[in-house]
Amino acid sequence: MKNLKKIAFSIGLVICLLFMLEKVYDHFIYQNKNIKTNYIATEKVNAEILFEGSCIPYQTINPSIIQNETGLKTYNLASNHSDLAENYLNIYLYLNNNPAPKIIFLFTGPETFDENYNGFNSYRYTCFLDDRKVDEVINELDPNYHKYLWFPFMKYAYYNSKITFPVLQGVKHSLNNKHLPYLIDGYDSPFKTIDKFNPLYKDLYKNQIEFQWSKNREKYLMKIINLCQASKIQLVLFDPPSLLLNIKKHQNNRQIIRKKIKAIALKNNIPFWTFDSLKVCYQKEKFVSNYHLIESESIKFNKTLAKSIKRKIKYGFN
Amino acid sequence: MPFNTIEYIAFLLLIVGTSFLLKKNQINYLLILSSSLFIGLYNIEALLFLFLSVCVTYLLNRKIENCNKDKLKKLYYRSGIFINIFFLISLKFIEKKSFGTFNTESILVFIGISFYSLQNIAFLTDSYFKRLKFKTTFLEFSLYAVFFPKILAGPIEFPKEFIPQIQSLNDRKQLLIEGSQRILLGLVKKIVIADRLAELVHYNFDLETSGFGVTNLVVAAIFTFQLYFDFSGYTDIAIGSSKMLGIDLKENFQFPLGSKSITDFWRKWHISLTSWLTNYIFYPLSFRMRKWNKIGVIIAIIITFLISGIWHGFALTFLMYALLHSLYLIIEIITQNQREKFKQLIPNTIHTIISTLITFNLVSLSLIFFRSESLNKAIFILKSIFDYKQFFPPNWERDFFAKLATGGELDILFNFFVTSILLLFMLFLEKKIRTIIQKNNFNWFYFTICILVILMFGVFKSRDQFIYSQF
Repeated sequence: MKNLKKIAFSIGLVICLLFMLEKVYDHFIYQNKNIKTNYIATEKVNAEILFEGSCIPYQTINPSIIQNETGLKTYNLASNHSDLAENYLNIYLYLNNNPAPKIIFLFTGPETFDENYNGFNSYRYTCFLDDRKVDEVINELDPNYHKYLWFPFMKYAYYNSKITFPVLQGVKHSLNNKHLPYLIDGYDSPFKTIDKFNPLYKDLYKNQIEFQWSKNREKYLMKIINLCQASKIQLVLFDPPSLLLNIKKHQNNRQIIRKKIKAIALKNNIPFWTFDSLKVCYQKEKFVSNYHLIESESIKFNKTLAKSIKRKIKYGFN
Repeated sequence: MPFNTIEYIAFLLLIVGTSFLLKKNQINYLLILSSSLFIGLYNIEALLFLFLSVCVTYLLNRKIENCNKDKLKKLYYRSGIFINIFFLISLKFIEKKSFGTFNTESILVFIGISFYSLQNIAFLTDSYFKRLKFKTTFLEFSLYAVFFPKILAGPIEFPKEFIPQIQSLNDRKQLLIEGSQRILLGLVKKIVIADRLAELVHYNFDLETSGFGVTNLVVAAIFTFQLYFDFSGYTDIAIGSSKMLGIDLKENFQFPLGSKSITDFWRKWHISLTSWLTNYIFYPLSFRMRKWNKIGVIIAIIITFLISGIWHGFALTFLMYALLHSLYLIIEIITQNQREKFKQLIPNTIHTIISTLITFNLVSLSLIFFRSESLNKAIFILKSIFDYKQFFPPNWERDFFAKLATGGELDILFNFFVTSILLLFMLFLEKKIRTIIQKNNFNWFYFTICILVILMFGVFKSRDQFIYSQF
């Protein structure tokens, strides 16, 4: 009987503590401005040009260069390891709190449509689970996580290795009353010190690979297209320069996938920008990996891109 | 239904709850039924095969018990041993996904075969040599073989210790609290520590194996911790579950990472397998070769470890792991006098620290073979460790501090720091925790902390199977 009372007390205590902990996490993670979704959903970014996609645009597109050239406020909304569903939710959350930008550049490479590459990172949306659209996407793409959400604190517990540090950072931001993130324009260049082709990536496509076209990814591309059309935003699909010298040998159906993307773009009257004709695509020393330019070369590419954007703004995209 | 799932906890609570509604003589039927369901949910073929194995072994045991002719008795005994070994070896070959390589994601086709085959052999041997002082019914033998808390990865029970317990079940109420607290300890070890370490180990062994010795040495040490917390966590859950049903299982670990020698290590690591191998392989072999003195013992050690290696899987990596350990033990036997002399020369504390560190590193190095997918990979890793030119990466201090200065990868460093703290905490306090929870007194503080630690730091997304359930 004594043990039973203790068990009942402990279970009650644990549940109370979990509810309290959930509230503490709720509060502080929301204060973390380094989480892009939090920043765009709570602060006014007011960008006129947005870049969205996975690590490739995140670590390639430097908004300050684009902004200098075009005179339009630019923000890099891309994030590491993100897929088209994440890109869709990012744009959706951005539009909920910000006026619609003039142009959105969306990264769409051949691997974008293959579910073996990148993915949906539910933990980035823990602050927005009350939003019906966010909840729907999480339920569809991460049902294992979604099914535990009823349990107190489980929305943070499930991905705690990705959450605990941002919560602590949120405490710091809250104490400092911080409103700007570490990466103010959303761009991160981790390759400042690396000036050689990274051997870590040398075996990335060692074997011949065939990209698999995912209908689900295509569905989220269509959702982005519809969202942009509804908000009267010019959407541009783009694929920055990659090391074709390496890639061409190993990616068998690269051109077939490219053609599919082009067909979607054409059907929806959207431009699709590729940069395969640039000389840099065949210069190994200009790349850190198959997809990431070294910083000096990335600056050159950003300038070229900015000029193209400026020209298109002047003469039209179509 | 792996042990580290809500489904298993619900299943266990249901069985424990039902057992309190039944009379004492009905409980064994419930345990057989629940064990069959547990195995059947994994794989129905595994259940059918297990049933066949139980029937054949029990039938042969009856023949041994009732036979008066020594020659015939021996024939039944040898047939039983042969059939069980044949089943074990042939099914391990069939189970291609898990034999030969380290793969925690393998499909468990014939779950627990490595474990219950050894139990069957122990049962037949003890029966043949008249070591069992009791009669065993078919129901009792079946429960000995299929009891669900130990079917996946042991502990390997001896019939003389297990069967008397199911013949007169302990007072379950006394063990209920102790059992549930032991399960909680196992869950913390597995979900919080082993699975957090698994992410680091998986990256280096399976994805991007580092070419630098220092990384490989650290990861080998991390794998040693992972394996210990994974397997001992599993054992804690098995022992705890079994206690809740009134049965005490054998302890499988006695804090082996603090061992002062390899001999000491094997007394504390995977105790049930070591005891089985000692009783049924090593002792009979060394008895037969007793005329050869030390040489006989050395040969017996090598054969015993070779069998242990083959038991883990038909791969050169497991064989190398086993051979390395037999080599360690042989060296210990040969150098026993010198080591004793050395012990006299230095203070006891320093001797303990040095011998513990040496033993831990020797075990870590051997586990490189255990964890590597191929012999080539293991040799590549070992080469990097022993080649001083490859030991440190160039400019490692610059890269490390650059990351700190720019704020890059702070979350990774934070997670590494948290994992290290949790690991050290558990290493130093495990003994104390075990003492606290052995009392039949519900400790609300322990319960609350465990649940909070699991939820705040556990790994839920990629729940790995327990490492030893692949064998």
